[in-house]
Amino acid sequence: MAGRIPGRSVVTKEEDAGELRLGKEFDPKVATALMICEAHALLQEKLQKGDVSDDMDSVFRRSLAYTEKFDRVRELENTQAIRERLDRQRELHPYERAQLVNLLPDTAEEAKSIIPSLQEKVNEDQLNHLLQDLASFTQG
Amino acid sequence: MGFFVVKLVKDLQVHPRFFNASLSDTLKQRLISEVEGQFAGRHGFIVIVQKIEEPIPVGEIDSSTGFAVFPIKYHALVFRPFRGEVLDSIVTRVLPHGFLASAGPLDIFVSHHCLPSDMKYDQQGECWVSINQADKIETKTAVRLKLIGLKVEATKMHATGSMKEDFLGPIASSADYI
Repeated sequence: MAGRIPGRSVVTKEEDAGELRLGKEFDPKVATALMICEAHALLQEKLQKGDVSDDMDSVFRRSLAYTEKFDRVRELENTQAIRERLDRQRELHPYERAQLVNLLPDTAEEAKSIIPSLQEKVNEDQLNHLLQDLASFTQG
Repeated sequence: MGFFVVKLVKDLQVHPRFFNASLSDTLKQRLISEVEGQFAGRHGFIVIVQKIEEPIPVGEIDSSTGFAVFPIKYHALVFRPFRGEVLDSIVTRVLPHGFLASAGPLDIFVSHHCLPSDMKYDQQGECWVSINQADKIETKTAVRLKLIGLKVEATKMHATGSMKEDFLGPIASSADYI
């Protein structure tokens, strides 16, 4: 049997977001995890500069539609306040911080179910406290 | 869910007729038009070029073509989903054997095997409905999924999702965000 052709197709079995295995390309030293509201701000900035695709099926337009729909923070000053609040949670991986805001779970139990890597990391009280703080900056 | 800023490098091949005072603008425009919207394998989808690192490196002449090659370093906003990740998506198509959803540039297939066992396909309404009628999945429904399979190819990515675990499924308050 011939070996796999490099770069052709990779089944990402070794990856598991639930265990924070994101691969070397997304190590926090080389990649910055963004909250949807932060990505939305960058896309809006690009849109205002113009020169973007009108094709609604393009990567840009589909990403913009997505961040428009699922940005639960909306206001730029709230984005900054959330970022400052989250950066105090040093025990959390940057990806976990972004996921908390993106998914905005109601309870610690829900947070640990949809972001499994949180399970051993923070106790329920700390997590509930953080979730309450985050909810105060978001709409809905 | 999936947006990152990463540092990437692109080798740009430039014809000698562009060797003039506006070379650096030419390089910046070329970079944007060549990489934005592209799928970059393990780095995911390149959504926008956020910043180009300055100074732009010195080019090297490729003696076989006469073109100069410039290794341009830049910061890109990428969208990269991961296996095991929970994310929100929008249903784009309902099928008798599952449904398709999209999350940004990513298409996700959810098989009926990965739906809660109390959900049934309603042929007339072209939707999936739970027995107690509380949950309904039709086109444009916002659903929270877990990515259970992800295959990265040179030019695209295939994803499969599941709705079978706790806290997944239609997002009740999605109307607030429209």
